[in-house]
Amino acid sequence: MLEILSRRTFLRGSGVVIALPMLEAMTPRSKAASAESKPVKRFVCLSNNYGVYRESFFPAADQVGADYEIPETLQPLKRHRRDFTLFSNLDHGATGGHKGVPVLLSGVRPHVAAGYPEGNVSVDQKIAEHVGAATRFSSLTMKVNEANLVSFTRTGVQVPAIDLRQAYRAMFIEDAPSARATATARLKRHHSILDVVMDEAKSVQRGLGQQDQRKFAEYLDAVRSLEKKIQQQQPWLDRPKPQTDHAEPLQGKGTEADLRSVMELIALAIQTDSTRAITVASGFRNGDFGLSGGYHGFSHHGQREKEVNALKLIERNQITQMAYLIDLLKTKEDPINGGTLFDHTSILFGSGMATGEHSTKNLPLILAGGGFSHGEHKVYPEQSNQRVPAANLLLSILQNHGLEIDRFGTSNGTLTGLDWS
Amino acid sequence: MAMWSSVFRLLVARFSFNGLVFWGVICGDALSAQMLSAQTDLQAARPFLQQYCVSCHGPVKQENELRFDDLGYDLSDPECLEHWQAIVDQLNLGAMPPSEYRQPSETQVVEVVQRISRQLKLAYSQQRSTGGKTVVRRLNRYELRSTLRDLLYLQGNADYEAGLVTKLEDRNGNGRAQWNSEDPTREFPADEVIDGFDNIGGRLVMSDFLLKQVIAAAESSLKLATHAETRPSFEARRYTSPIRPDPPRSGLQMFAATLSLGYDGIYQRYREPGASTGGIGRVAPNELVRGGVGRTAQYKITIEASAHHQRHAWGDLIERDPDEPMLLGLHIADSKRGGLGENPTSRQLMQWVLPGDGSEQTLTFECWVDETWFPWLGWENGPYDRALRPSMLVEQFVPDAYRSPPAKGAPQKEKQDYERAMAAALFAAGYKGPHLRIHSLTIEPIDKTWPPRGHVALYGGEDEGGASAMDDLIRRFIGRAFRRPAKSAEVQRYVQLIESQMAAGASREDALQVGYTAALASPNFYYLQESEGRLSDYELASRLSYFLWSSMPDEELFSLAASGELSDSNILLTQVERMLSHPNSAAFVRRFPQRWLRIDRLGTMPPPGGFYFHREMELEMREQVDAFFSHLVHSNGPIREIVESDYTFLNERVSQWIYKRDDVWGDRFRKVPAKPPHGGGMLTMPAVMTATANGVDTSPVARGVWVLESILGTPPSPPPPDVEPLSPDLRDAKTIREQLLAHREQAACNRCHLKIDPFGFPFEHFDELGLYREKYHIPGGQRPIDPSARLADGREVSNVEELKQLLLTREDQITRNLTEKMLTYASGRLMEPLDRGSIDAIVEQLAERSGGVRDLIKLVVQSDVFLTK
Repeated sequence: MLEILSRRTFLRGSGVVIALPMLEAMTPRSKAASAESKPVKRFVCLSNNYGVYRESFFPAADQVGADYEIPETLQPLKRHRRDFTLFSNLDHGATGGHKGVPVLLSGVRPHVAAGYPEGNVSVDQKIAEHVGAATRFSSLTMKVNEANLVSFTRTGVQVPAIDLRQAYRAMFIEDAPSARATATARLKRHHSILDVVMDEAKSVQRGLGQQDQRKFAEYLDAVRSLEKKIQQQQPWLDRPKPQTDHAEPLQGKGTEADLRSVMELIALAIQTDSTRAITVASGFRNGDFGLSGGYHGFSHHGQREKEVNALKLIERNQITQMAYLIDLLKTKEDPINGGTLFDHTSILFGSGMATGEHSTKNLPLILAGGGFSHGEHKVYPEQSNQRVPAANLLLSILQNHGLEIDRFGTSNGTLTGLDWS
Repeated sequence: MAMWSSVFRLLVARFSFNGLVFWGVICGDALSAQMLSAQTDLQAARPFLQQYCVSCHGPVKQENELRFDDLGYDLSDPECLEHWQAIVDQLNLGAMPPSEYRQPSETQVVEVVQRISRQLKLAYSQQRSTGGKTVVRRLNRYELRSTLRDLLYLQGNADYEAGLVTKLEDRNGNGRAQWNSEDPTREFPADEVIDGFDNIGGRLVMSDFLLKQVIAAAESSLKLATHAETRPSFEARRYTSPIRPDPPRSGLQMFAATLSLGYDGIYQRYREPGASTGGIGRVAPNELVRGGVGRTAQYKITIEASAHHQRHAWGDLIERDPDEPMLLGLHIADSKRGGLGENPTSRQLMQWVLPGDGSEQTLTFECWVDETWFPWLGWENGPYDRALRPSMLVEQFVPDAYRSPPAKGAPQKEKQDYERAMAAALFAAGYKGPHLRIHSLTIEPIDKTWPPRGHVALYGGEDEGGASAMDDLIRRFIGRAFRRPAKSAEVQRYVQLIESQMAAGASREDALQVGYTAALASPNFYYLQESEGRLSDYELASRLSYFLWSSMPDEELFSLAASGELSDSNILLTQVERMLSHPNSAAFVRRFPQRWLRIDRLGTMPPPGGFYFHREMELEMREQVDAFFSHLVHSNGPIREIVESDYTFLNERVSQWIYKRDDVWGDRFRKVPAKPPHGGGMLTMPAVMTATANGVDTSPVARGVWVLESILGTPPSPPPPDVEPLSPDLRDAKTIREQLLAHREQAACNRCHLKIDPFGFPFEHFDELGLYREKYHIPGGQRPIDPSARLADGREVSNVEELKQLLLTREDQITRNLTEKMLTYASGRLMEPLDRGSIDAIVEQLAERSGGVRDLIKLVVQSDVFLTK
């Protein structure tokens, strides 16, 4: 139901108002949009930092292909069974327990990043580079009662995460005019500062030896790319934020409620094209599900019943919320591409550590949506010399996203058997 | 004993003369020697490959696209390196050759693996090599913050303090990081770490995100240093009874406070022994509790106090050891974060022993106090009994004045009035129990100049303001910020920026701030630059100050650099002495052990809950390490005391909760005799025990690796890929030792674990927080702990004390390791084979003069590694 109110179109019922100029008249965006191939894709990663209780997450060994029996933890996804793929025997081939967590979206361990052309850039940040200034936020890194450790820029910087409330405010609450004026003045000021800094950096560069020059190139790059970002940010400051009748969510109501609110926020973010790359890490708060303890403690379950049950509850909720996000995206029309938002959004569930006992082998990975052909439990070779890098899945996601690349992180090809139209 | 890495063994075998003199020679020759031996080792592996691998990975078939018959020896080629690594990995795993093919013998595999691994290790270390030079390095977040503090004269500002933990802290273990400060670097990404160090030039990365943060940190720090407000009052503020008009809400302390006694009495300690809660018996002026002292400055705090009735006859109701001295503590806390209640910011500055005879004492203390902070006083070791009411004392000791209490159901007010009356009677008769009296508290700023020094440095005094003055301001600022005299072109650059800002309508002050921000974002400030070869005097001043202070040089260092005297060996050593006595040396005392002993891992895997959080143990654990290491530095303590000493440092909280001792009072860490089971030294400190566990379980492997890395300096090889970690089934009553034994049945695992685990088992009596435990508590009951271990060389130890003694038989190696680690920290680069000479020389000289930690610092500063780029 559409209703024209001056310059704004209210999409009632969907909870969103999109400022009309957003769709046509925004210079940087329309430029970017014309350059970018349609359909416009989005990426969402839902992760945790402790892996899964394998026995309830993976189907039995003989359950392969389309007719596999959905395991206990994944039951909430049953209604979407044709719309997601479950993978077995994919991983990043490294050990290191908790150190695997930040590797999830790159396949590259931070300490060896220097040996890779793009360092340990994560999928979401790679997409963010691709999207550039086409959206207000090039990416969104969120956390729910847990640190989000998966997003890295190509320079190896971990992107800090924000919580539900901060994300809502950033996307939908208009800054006061005075705050906007301050921000504009700041960008202008920083621009002149960077001019001077660049002059100085160049004169420093000239006086350095070869080895130092190589290192110092990072600084020059930093100045250039900050200048670019300031230029990209400027127009967004003057442009109104999308309005929504979705009220500011309450926060701190436990992981279940908070994660559910985050799913709604993600759907809103995608619908308003506020960003196209989102990562969320979710954890546990003492008292959730009537449990007392900590996620880390539960993950070292040692097969004890109490801890195993706690883990199952925590993981089940993560899957429940993923299923809810799929529901939301399936029911929303895609304002840019047509069809539903789900058709053009890849949702990856996973963790860079497979289990609480520090295994990094056979990572839990589920992919939904995005226009991939889904519905199967795909089992890849188990033997150590034939294993398929999980980065192949990441490469497939990026290619599906429209990036013309043939290598990403530790990939050695796209993921065989995973197709998209 | 295969304790030295193969690199070192190679050099020592070939050139067994004093390294220092010939290190240039070694350097040149070593490289070719390494290359030569790479070829030998890899060539020796060739027949093995021919025999067992090439039929599938050779000219005919290339299974998995791998071909080994034409594999080269140049390990600097990444692809070649990758192939050799893959061969070792597969052999280690026993995955190749496939079982249906002819199998090599165990000895054959071991020999080939050893040969290839040796070369791989060399190749990896060469990959990291910077040719023995420090690469241009940016400041890390800690150094940036300290430098901003000293450059802008922000001393005393709590958010710039040396001891502040800068990372966001996940205090309640739910993954939600929080910060309780306005630390300008609080949102900085973590600095890149290599081998534990976060100040290695080649490793630290720069990005646009970081640059943005640096600019923001510069802007907020400049704002703090700017004081446009009118001159505040510098009057001394003297508070007399009642100093704290609103008394606590319960107990003796409350009722006493309602009487006009002419002093503020303290009858109870300010919190439950060893706990972190409670707020009774804390004395501070209400005005300050509400808003802090109002201005950041160095204050002189004067207290008039007395202690009464240390020996008393009321022992039936008030328990207190009459021989224990009465301790008055001076603390400061932040009015904005917790105030008088217990909170993480509150901490003790000073602790005085008061004669318990009622004589009045005048006590003074000088310290920086941040504007929102305030001082408070408490009795460190008073009795603690919140249920003690005046009526109870009156009934027993002043029976004449006693009357019976109102009925049980009486209104609250009636009960209160009754207790108040009883208190009046008690004090009228004279309070004979032990207590402290605070007669006055005075605070007075010491430096009364206005505007403050930091403001004048940025904007000039009131009489300055012309165009030439601006040139001077900039020149002076840049000279300090860039840590060397400013160049005219640089000054011009900033003056132009400032003028263009003013032309666009900015005020002089705002325009200057923009100019200064640009200078602070510039690489001349943010990077430590050094030219080839011997360091210049200015470069040396910076290296020295970042080594010992993690901050910029002060005026004295600058002036010695300007006159070219600093590089004089005697002057250099005098400066080291001076710098170690300076408060800024807290940076070295805290940060070096944090890096070398990996205490930075504390908090990355916190335990799920318990006293670790509600007692704020993490900060206490860190402080214990600081206190101990600080003692070694300041007393030139022998290096062996790192491993074992007859003393340790404890405060009440750590001793009560972890050491289970009850002979230490108060918040201050102090030197106390070591006692079993922990003993002395740093190895069994809770910070180490916690940092080497995962918050849930202990692992002898992690602790063994820690001993090898941090104490002996011989890190083991990383585990081969594809080895699954232990998945303990805790329903089984299996101890970690039993699980590890199973793991070690695999030959590939055993080769390394044989060397690692024995250094970990002896610590098993200490749980994941360093608490002593007699037995394992595992399902199915308790199981005894076996702390004995048999080392790879056959020597045996039966417990942690014996392990410490055994480690001390390798004191040389421990010294060598500490030397390497300190050189790394001091120079901002990793040590390489060619540094062997410098390291040897230091170790030898140290042994000659049986030197301690302070001597080591001096030798490091005089070494070639430190004095050249």
